[in-house]
Amino acid sequence: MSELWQWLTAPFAYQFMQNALLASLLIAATCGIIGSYVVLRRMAFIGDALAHTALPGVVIAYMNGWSLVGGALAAGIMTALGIGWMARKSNLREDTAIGVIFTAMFALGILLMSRLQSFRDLSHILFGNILGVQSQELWLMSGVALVVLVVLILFHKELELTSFDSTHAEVIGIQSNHLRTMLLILLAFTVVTGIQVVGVVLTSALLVTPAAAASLVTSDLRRMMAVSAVIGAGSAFVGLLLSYYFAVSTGAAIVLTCTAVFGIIVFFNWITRRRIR
Amino acid sequence: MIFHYSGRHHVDSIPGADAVNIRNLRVVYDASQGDALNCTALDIPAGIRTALIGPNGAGKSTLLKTLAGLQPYNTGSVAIYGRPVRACHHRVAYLPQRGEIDWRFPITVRRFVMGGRYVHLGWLTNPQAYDDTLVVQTLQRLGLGSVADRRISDLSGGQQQRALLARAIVQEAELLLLDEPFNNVDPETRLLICTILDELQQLGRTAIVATHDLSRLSQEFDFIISLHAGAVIKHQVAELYQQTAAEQTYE
Repeated sequence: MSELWQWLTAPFAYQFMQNALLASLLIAATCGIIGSYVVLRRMAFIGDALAHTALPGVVIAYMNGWSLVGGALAAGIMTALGIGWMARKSNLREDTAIGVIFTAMFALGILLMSRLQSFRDLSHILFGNILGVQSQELWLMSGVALVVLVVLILFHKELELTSFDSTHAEVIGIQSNHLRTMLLILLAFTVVTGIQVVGVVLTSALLVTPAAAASLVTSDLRRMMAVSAVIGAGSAFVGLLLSYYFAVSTGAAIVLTCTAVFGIIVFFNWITRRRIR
Repeated sequence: MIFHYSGRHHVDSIPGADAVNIRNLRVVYDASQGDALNCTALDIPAGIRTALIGPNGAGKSTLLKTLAGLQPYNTGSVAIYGRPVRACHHRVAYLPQRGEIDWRFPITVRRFVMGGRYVHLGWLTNPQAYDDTLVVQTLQRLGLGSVADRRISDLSGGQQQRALLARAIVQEAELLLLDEPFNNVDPETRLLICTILDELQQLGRTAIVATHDLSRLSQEFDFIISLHAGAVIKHQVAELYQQTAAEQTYE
């Protein structure tokens, strides 16, 4: 027993592992909560797009010596507003328009990256760099997580209503497209923090996988959010340990742990359904 | 302190005004397809039950959506209890065709019906004891008490329609707009909906119901409006309505 305890706690004797643990728990839980909306409103593709379009923002910030998180945030918010605007104005189907824009932005990011001398710092953007999180970044992430949670709690009943019946919401005077834009901006904030943990390529997994798993075990949005946050945070903890002991990429380990939890829940769901029949 | 969803929420209705006054209303979706709705004059007094009949594409849903403030119109004027559309959100309840709602969303029937109270609560306010009591009573009245804590995805078509009606009742709306409430519902639900509309009428409420079902129009409604290709072609008291007239409309 004490050996297991030793195995679980030893890595966190290091300051960088403590920071990494705090950051990944916080971010995975936040992603899990807002991810419930991403899954239920079928916005998975948008989440992915928001993560990818952060890349040019980060690269431009890096070239000019600005804050990388600031660059990612600016790009994310511009994308969020752009998607909202396109959904209203364009004749293109929304997913098509997003597909066109986000691949172009990502390509622009890679193009700018390839002109730089140093690839090392920016590969952290692509694949995450949770082990390099500094204390001050931790404060920023906590702030972002707090803002996201507070807004989601304050506007819960309206966000919930517009997610399944925007017609009724409109009739009683709620502007559902404004709420959608607000959700997209919160998503951009969340995604930017998610990039720190698993990188732009895998961030949508943190949004979608825990929430998808949670949607299988509960029938109430608030409970789904709680379960999703627990799955996300638990996977972050396990993934961090695995990456420490087996010397593998932290982001990938966290994402695959999420996927394993999802797989287990799907399996048990399948078994219980068979038994009922 | 109430933070209303819309700044114009609490405009008082004009005493004695009709529920609906329409003048020279035109709604055009696509210029090449002509008018979706073209209505020179239509008045619906308060406190009556009106059936809206006509073939598919006649403009029944468009008319209801216009009254609910969901459908922008090109020209003309629409007044609800003497005020412009959308000046009094709490006074109008719209029951869409059931397909417009995502019934797979994880929410209980109780919470779904609570959605009718939101217009009175506004931003940042959660339901109070009064709202809870009203929802429970209404669920009981509509025979949904036993499924109150089930997911809306577990409901049958008739139960879904009753849940929609329950939401409109807890909204305490004065004008109820129902789009095809009798489609794919069991006979008990149909009867219950008509009984409730009758009770609401005795409370002075107004109902406008788009329907395909012409079997009991003269018993269940006071007024019949026939639409064809976006225009009101007949407008009569239900007692004078004859089955054959409507059948001609459909041909």
